[in-house]
Amino acid sequence: MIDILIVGAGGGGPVAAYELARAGLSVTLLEAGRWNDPDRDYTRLEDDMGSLLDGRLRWGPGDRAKSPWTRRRDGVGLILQCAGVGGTTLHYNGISPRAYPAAFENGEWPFDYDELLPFYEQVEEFLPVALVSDLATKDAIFAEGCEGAGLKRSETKEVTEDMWRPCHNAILPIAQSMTADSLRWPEVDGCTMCGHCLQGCPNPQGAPLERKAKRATNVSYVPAAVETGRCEVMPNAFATAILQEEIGGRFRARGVRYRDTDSGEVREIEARVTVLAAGAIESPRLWLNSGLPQSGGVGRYLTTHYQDFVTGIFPNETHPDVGQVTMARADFPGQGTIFTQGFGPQSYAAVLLAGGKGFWDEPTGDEPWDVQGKMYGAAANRLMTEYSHSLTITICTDDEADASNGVALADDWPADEHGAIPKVTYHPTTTTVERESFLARRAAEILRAAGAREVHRSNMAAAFLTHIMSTLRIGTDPSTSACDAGGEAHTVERLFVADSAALANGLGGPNPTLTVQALAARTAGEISRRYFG
Amino acid sequence: MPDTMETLRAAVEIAFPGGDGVAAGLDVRADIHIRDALEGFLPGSLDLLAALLDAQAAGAGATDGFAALPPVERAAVFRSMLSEEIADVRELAEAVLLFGAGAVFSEWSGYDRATRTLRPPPVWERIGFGGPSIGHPSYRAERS
Repeated sequence: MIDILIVGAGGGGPVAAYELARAGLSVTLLEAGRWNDPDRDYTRLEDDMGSLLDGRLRWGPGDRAKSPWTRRRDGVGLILQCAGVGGTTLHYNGISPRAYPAAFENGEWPFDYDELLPFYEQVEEFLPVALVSDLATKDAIFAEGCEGAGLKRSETKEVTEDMWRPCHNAILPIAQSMTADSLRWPEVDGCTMCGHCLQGCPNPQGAPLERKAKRATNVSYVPAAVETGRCEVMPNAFATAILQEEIGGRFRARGVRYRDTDSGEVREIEARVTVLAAGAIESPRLWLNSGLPQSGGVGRYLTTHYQDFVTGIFPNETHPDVGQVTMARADFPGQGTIFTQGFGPQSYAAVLLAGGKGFWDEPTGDEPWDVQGKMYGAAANRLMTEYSHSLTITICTDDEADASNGVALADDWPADEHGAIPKVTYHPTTTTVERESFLARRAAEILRAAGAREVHRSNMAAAFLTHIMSTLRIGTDPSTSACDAGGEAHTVERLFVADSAALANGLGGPNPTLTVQALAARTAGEISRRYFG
Repeated sequence: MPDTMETLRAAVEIAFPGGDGVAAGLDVRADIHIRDALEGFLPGSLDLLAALLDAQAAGAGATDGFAALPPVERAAVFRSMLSEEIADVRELAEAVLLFGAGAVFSEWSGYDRATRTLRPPPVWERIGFGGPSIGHPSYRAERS
């Protein structure tokens, strides 16, 4: 029997795997998707990598000829998940801000912000997380707009007031010796500003994993865990049930059953401790499909960042495809955060054309944007031809938790080969909608101050769901949480959660990956202390 | 009634008419891309999309289906479906926009996955997208 079985090799699971393996424990890391080789598999092409149907980074089996995995939805549109070793860090921007300290002050977290600080520092040093030292065109325009809108520049990691900042990204510093003829490793070392963070980041071309610029877990924590000699990674292994036993009236996890997505074979692995890290949809789905005893937080209190996009069109070129996709941000504690969003043309089209409430030709009243909502036909063509003069700002809202938002098993749809499929329900509270509108207005103000001659608000209204959190959240009260402060299930011994599902709330709006990783590192310590001390 | 692909093509004509240097959706086979996406996610959804467009057209007085409507009336029906309160219905029309945009603006129309051969779509040059890159050493110069 192995010591630790971790389900999911995304943002959090590999952190726990590395920390536990280097503590001397035997670890197996299951991953539902395939294990890509950046040099071989990443084409830098938007559809080939990112297609929700059959892109290499989609949510589905490694064999792209097979259909993606289905989920039911209530109140949300497309759910952006990613299967594969690295999980959503494969297509994330690499943005690694800490949570707002204020997010720890409303009683939802079972410990103080300061408790997480050493783990933030540990992860930031390991990845590493670096302060952006220079800005690409789009980010410099954003910075100018922020200054014009009265925001002060800061480089702090602990945000307690409104400000704009160069980002702290899990991306190696910008390469210093780049020329057009010398963009391959080892001639260059660091970020080449290629603009392909969302397609997986294969650069610098030819670099070993430890020198790939974006520090997704497939090039950072996973190889480090394997390097210990005590961690085995099993891709294409979809967990379908948590094995359990009842001892003296207490339930105890003893491993998982999983299905090989290539062969269809079903196998079991036993472990002294099981860790769920399959993400805030699949982790509660697995819990519920396993028939584990529940507490009040299981599958409830889903938070997201109720994202929206505001785009400005400028007189001069903005180069939206150049640089780390996000190099500058503005913070508004109590409301959320906004940041620059580099795009290829397909993603630009998706947020401008396809989502959103309302239509481009409807009046916008006194709002500070000229256009909002869906676009098609000649109007869409015109805005698309402005691509090279565009700057899009992403909005991440401080989402108010609501017990009725969450993940359940769909009773209105057939099960798939991995059991009952998840049904994701999300309806923003009035407070969340108000905060999102506040941030959209500030984004428009910043774009205007930077010289935008036209502003478009996508008004997405949950058309895309990212940053999915809190569906097995930690807390002190079992009636409103799933796990205790150490990440262990209230109702099942030796079962821990180490992904975004464990976050007690939406962090105030900052991108969640770094906090997921810091919390996973903390939880790894709790596992060692409780069961292997 | 027309077949489902004819109905889909009639919707693509409304959503992606082309012009201003941007290819029309039908010229880059956006109908095929949308069909493959719909059927890949949920077999039967293309038929459902076509049936719903035809039903909405019938509600507007058309007797020969959505595809037979004049462009202005087709646009009104398509917009009505995009405004539908029932998410499962609205999202079928939104899929035309989302996956149609993927066909028109991504590499899809010019990329062969088997051979990894890329023929950059002309729209990239029109909108100022440089295509896949291994780095931008001149990013500072571009900024100034």
